[in-house]
Amino acid sequence: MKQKKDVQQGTLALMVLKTLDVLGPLHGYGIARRIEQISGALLSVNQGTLYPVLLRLEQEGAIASDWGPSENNRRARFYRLTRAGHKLLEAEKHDWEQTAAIIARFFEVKAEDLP
Amino acid sequence: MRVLRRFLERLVNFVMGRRGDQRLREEMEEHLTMQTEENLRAGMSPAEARRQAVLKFGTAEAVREDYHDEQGLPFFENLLQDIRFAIRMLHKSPAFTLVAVLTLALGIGATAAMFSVMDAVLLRPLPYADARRIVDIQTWSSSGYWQTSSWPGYLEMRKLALTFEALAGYEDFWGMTLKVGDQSRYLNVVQGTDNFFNVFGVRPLLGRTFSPGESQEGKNRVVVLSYEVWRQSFGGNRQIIGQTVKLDGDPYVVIGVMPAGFRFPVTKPNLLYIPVHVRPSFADEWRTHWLMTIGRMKTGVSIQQASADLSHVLSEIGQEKPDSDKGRTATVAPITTAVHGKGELPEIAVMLGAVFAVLLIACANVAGLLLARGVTREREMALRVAIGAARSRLIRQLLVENSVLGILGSAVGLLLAVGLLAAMRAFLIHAFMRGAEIHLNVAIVAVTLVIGVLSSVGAGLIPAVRAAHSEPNAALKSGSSAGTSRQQHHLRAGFVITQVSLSLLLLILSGILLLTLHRMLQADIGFNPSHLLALEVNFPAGDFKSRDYVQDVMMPMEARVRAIPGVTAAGWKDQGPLLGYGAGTALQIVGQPPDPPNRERTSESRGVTSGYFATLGIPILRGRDFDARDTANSQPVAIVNEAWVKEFLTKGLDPLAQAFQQKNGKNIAIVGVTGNARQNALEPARPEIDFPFSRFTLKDQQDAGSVSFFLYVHTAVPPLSIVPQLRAALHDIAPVLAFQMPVAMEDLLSENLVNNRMESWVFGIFAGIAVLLVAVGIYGLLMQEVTSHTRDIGVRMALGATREGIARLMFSRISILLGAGLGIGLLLTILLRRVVESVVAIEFARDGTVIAILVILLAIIGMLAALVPVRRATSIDPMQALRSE
Repeated sequence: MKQKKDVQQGTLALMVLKTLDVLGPLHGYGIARRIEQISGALLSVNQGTLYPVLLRLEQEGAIASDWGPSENNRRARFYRLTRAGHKLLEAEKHDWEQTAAIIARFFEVKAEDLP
Repeated sequence: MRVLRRFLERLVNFVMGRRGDQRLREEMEEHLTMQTEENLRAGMSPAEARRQAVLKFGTAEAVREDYHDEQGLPFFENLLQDIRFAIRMLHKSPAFTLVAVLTLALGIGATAAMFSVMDAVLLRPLPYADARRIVDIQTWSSSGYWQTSSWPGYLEMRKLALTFEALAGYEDFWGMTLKVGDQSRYLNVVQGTDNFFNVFGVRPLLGRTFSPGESQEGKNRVVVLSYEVWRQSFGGNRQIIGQTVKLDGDPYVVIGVMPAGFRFPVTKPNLLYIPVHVRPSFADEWRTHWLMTIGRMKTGVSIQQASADLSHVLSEIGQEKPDSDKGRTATVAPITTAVHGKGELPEIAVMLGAVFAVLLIACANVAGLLLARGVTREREMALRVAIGAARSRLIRQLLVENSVLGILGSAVGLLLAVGLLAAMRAFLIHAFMRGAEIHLNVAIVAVTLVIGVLSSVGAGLIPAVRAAHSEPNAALKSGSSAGTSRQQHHLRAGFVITQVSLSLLLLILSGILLLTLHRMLQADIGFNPSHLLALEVNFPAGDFKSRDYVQDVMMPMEARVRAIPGVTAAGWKDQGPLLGYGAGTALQIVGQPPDPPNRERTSESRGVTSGYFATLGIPILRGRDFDARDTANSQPVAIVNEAWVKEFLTKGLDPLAQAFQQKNGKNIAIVGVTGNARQNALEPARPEIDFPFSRFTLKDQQDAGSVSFFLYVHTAVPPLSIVPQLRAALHDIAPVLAFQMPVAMEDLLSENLVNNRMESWVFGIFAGIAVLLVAVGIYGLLMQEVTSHTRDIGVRMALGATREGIARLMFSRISILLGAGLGIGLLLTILLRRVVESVVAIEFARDGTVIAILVILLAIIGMLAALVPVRRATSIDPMQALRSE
């Protein structure tokens, strides 16, 4: 059986940003569900931990929020990506890809490749 | 940018106390509802659906806390909480708080006051350009006493010295009367050679300083004003340059104004600077020494080089003029140390040491108190640890408590420092040359706060760490006696010993200082200073060009003052009282071989009127006083003192049969011998020859130029009460003369001793504080010991220990602590003897009794401080003690 991974706060923030980027404005539960679906239940995140992350992103100006009607017509708080959030996502994505690429290269190296 | 934005948002939330709890709750509720619905759709029962939703969400409380932390500034929030809690805790034990705050305040107040003195005296730079190159040059006679330069001697020195950019001469003995409109003001005057200002390298604010050759007769009627005089007497008028003002009745042209802050000598306010006026009779006189010297060394020249250069120059002059200048030497000292005064630096260092000792005692005391408090709070801490408080958090909270104590202590300490400075300033102005500039400034307040917080936090560190590391299990189980571990025992003993030893050191220092002062005050100065007044009168040469002031002013004034009701005697002398310097002379005695050139013996020479000796109560031991017989045309006469007889006459020779040789062939007969009266308050009387004013002719007066003489008045009423009559008398007889406030001799005498007195005071205060602190410290620590041992003692008593036994036990422990403290204190005194030498000479043979008394005194104080705790210990009721836990 595959083990579930704990998740670092920074990574969770990146996931939130990407989710909002792909799906547009979403409430907290929606974001939680989406992250769960995409990560294929590999992640063990208490859904509650999402909310401090959302607050933090909002304080940083990466996302904004407003009350709005949910699918079943109740009041829910919807989060959306701001322009600054877009930029942040791009930058983080770039960083992440770079890190991943470097790590990947390290894994590909075999002993005989080294001079 | 993002970080900043976030911080601002959090700061706003923190300050406004804004909370997003409501929003979070609503969002959480919504979230759970949605999850529950999802679960229901997946086929769970309603109860199970809700349960799974909650599980998946995680601990709501933890989320809420995280959320809260993100929202505001938790660090500051906790800090505020800690401070609030600390204040509440301090409020709950007012006795502890009061003692701790006062203890700290005493230590910190003394430190702040002393730092202010240091700042003013040592740290603030002198108002001169590149002051490191300015040196004070002192010249010494062949027999080793301070002997200023003669005019030709100075000129020769200046010509031959190679290492100086400027070598200037100056004298500041006399003041002058400045007349502006109908107002006369007597001001301090420095007469300087033409290169005087080159030494200091300070540009004038207005106009110019002396130009080369301006000290020559005929060109020297110019004056440079100090900033104070310019503002006060001329209202800061910029048009003053080039105008003529009247100084001592003569016209002087104002050529410049110095900037504010420039002053030399730094002790003298309200200065005028004029080019030196060499009396005609001094111009070629090698044997009359009156000019002080100061120089600016060339760039790159060291003090040693300058000193060697001057030694060479002086020995060359000595070969040239063996009669007058053989064996003269010079010492060169940086102006910085000269300005601070001789020997002041080590004194200040020792005082600072005393201050730190007091601060250390205070710290030890507070640490002891905190430690003791820590013991009583051990259970509280243990409980907190038990219910999950982090240890770091506990330490932090205790340190916050200590900081609050420190800040309180600093605040009270600053108030104390202000008071202490005000008290010290009265003494300091005379004791330290720059005393007038001493005050608390922002830097010192800041330093004080830092010291206060650091010392209280430092003092509380060990107790705090100890408290936080208390083992909850053990502490909760065993009751309040758990804290008295061996280690803590040692700590407490250490505090007591430190305190006792340091305060013994301070006690001994101040005790011996007070003793020295007492001895000095007891010394016979040779006259009775009580009910004695000295009035200085300046006779400006310009106003008395053809008037005989002896006959026209001094004699009528003396007669008039004698007639004032309450005045018992009055007489003139040409020297101020207890100045410590004056005119020196070497007169040849008829019939005795002249002194060999390498032996320099001089006497003080003074002019007096016949009333002088009676006024000061100096007895005429043999012969007669001056009287009406002594006129300008009569036989020249002199009166000598006992010290002169002892120094100059071989035993058995009758002084009244001796006479002095004069150049003009007329011998001066000695007609009387008086008792010794000190010329300087701190030194035994020197040989003195007095001449009658009544023989001081108009020609002599013209030659002397402007002079200041002193009228001494002995009264039956309080001396200062006759000031109005004195003023009226002077105004009636000579309206042109400025009236200066007379000084009471007793005040003057105490001013002379003020330096010593101040040290004694300061040390006395410190020692008093230290002893007080020690008493409080011992009391506090023992009290704590008793409290924490209540159960032990109860058990002992229940098992049959008597109250006497308990008391003996406690007292023997205290005796050991006190004994160790006193021993170390004595050892410290012996070790530091050399360091404190400049302030107080400790001679164990002479001062042994005093030291022994002080040791016993401190021991008794320690025992007394222990009395209450011991009584409390012996009055413990075993039943109650055992039951109370």
